[in-house]
Amino acid sequence: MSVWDAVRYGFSPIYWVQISGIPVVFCERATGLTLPAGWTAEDGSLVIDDSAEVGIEQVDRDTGTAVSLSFGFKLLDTSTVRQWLRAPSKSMNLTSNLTATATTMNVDSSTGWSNGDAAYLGMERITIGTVASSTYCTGLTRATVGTLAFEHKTGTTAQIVTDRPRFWRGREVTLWASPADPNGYATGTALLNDAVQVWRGRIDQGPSRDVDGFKFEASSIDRITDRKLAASVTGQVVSTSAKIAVSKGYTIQIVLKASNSSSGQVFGYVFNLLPFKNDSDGDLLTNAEIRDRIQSAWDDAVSAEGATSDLGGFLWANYSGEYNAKVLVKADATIVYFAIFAYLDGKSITATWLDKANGWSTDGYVALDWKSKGNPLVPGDYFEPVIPWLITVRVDDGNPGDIPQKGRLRVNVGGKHRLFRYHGVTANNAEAYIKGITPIDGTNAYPTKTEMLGADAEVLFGDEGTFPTMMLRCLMSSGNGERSATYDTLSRGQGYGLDEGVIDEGSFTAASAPIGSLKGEVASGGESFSGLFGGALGLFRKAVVSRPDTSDANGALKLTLVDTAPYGSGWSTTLTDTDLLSHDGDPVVSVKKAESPNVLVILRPFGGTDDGEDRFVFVDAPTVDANGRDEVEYRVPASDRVTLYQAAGPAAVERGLRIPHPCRPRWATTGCQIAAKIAV
Amino acid sequence: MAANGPRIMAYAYSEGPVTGVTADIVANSTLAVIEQSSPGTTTYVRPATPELFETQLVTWQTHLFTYTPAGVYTCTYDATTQRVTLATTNGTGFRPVMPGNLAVWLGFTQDLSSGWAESWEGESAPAAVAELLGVTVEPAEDAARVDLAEHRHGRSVATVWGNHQVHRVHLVFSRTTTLAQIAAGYLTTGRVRIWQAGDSTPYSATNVDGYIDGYVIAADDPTEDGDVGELWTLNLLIGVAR
Repeated sequence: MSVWDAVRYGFSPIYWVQISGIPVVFCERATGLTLPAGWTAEDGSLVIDDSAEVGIEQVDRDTGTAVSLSFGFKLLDTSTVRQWLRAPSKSMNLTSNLTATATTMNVDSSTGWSNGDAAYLGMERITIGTVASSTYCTGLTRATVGTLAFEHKTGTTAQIVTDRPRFWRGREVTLWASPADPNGYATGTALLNDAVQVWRGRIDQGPSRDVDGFKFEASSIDRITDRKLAASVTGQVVSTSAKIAVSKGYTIQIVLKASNSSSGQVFGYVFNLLPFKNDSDGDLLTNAEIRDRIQSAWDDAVSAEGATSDLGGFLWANYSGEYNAKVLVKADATIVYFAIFAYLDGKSITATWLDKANGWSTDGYVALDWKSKGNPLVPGDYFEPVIPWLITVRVDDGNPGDIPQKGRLRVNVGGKHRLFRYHGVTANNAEAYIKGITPIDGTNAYPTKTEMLGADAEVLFGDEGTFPTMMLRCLMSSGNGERSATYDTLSRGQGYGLDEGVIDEGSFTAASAPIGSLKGEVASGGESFSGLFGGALGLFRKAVVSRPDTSDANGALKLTLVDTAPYGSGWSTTLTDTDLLSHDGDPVVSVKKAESPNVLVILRPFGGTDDGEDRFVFVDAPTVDANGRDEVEYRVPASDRVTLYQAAGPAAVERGLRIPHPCRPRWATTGCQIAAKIAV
Repeated sequence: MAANGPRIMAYAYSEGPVTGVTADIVANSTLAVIEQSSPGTTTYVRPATPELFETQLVTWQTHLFTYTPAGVYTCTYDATTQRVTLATTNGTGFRPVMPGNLAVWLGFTQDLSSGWAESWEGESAPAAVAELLGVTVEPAEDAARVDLAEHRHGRSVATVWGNHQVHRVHLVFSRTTTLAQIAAGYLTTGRVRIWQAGDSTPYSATNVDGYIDGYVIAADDPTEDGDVGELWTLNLLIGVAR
């Protein structure tokens, strides 16, 4: 029961829209009712009569996407509308990055700004609690008036803070209908009391000037699934050596003590080496670079302590790839005993010498029990990786910190793309040190170290898991974890950053086998949701559509995973003569019969990328003999070939069923939604 | 049950519940009363589903008896005076409360904010019903395929049924019916029942003077017959589900 039920009894809907970030409810006529929280005014400037019909025209069963229609609306040229469309009157710039959760911000000049002002950064609206100083604002309330929190970085136009929105494109638009009785009385005390959500999407175009107002065009929320994701980073392989992240304050303490025959001290020193004092925390150094820094730090310490008459240099003696630390002690025949203790981050290393008969009569190196084939900071590390399992990529653009810990790596080796899987990334400045590299392009051979060095590389952000889980992560991930505690886990650029309130999670998590249990792996870079998951949705007759959440009081529209084939024998609702509306045609139309192909081709892309694929084919040979080849192809990025083969087989024989598509009246029972199974 | 003369009467939309302050889409569905003996208690009653105006009066009467602390109520419409009266029959003083747009629906346009009485009569004619001087109902026309449905963002500009018939109706309102009563909207949109005479059974091929009960598909503007001050007339297209 809703607005649409009442329409039969002479009620009419009052349409109104909310635009994220704009605290004005734009409605067909002012209602005087209490506005939604955060919205402070209503303006009777909305005109929607020029829009085409909205809603889902049909579901593309081969790609699992809805063909939804866009919504056009106009805001009349009222003083309120003009106020929001005109240029900002105040602006300032961030002087340091603002995280998605920060409640303070540094700015260049807050002159003219006041406590409680609204501030717009990109798509986000922020309320400034206190303008604490000319360069500092505190008490920020993030993501107000229906906006979402984003990170804002300096160095781009994202750093500009204004008092009015600079962008309209991309803002979320929600179209609502509230009932008014035949006398024009708007029911309820609050606008949301009896309202239902009619449409939800994002502004695509506008505002564009019209005769008496400003026009906007918006796309349905489910059309976002066609938009390509940014998720990739390009760069060049600058090193094929193992690297270790170092910290600036790392200290190696070396204690030396030399004694004469009567146990008197000849000399004694305590050196605190800071080999990485000139580096930054997290800097990645090769083993050789670390050895060099330790050597230099020793020299500096010996010199600083005035010990050059007693001690010489630090040497890394190379014995077939194993490096042994040694220090030079200068000749002094009175020395009959000395001891050297080194402490590496809690690890103790000792070297002692004792010769009471001859003393230390010539300059010579004393070997410490400090040997390593790999990381010098880990004595006894005998792991020297086989190149090129570990590479360092200097990225061209973007933040290497956004690179996910697992993913795909495409490298141009000798003019040919090679595809690798990796697991493990350490990012530093403009470099990403990538570990655990294995080929996944059908060959097990690695390129040589020489081939890899200097090669162009592209990191393709990836994800792995069951298909519904990957879909949810793709829809919700923003890179800042703010959209969903469970699913906003991928890096920026790997997802659409939709808030979990826009998604019917239960419809995804409840999906049964085969799609509910099949595991896959995808590479998001340059792909869209439809491109990544459309093949699996189509093969298993699912679709992601925008439809009302019947458990929500206002019928909130959410992206929902639905069936596009009539599985099972039950139906969710029944339509009768009293529900059916005539659109000068049949009130209920059977959807066109799905094609019944006799050849089903399944492609399993390597690592979820376009760099090659497995391919298997199901052929109905007698039908092909009779009718010729009628082929349909699905691209399903499953992790395992055998599992996909087993799941795809039944799908090949279950196609070709009919489902009814009701041209239903709005007031028909709430169970009657797009892709619902109904009895007529 | 109709009076002996022709009449048009609207349906009130209601989703229930039958009592309690909380309900969805409350415009003309809910009546409330405060009894003098329990001034701190307001009792709300409404039909569980949409009902014809005169049925709604009976429903209110029943629910008020059930849910108010003391009163035994009558809710009546007098076709002669064209007024609604709310009263108690057991001497309980009360004051009606008109939630939503009920005051217009019932014609209780007077101030109801104070005072107690055992009987309250609306000062205006209710917008839910109008007495007619005459009505012309054209024979039913088949309308299984009609192009009158217009949809705009889900809005039914006209309510058209896939399996229905239409009647073209010409209403001539009584001299006491005002334009405001017609323009209130309840009689020109939504669901209405039109009695041609006193026959209280539905129109059919064998009962052509029966009432028609259906949905207003289209309505002309009301016109004044003859000179200014003459009778108001109105043409309606009524769709009746088969």
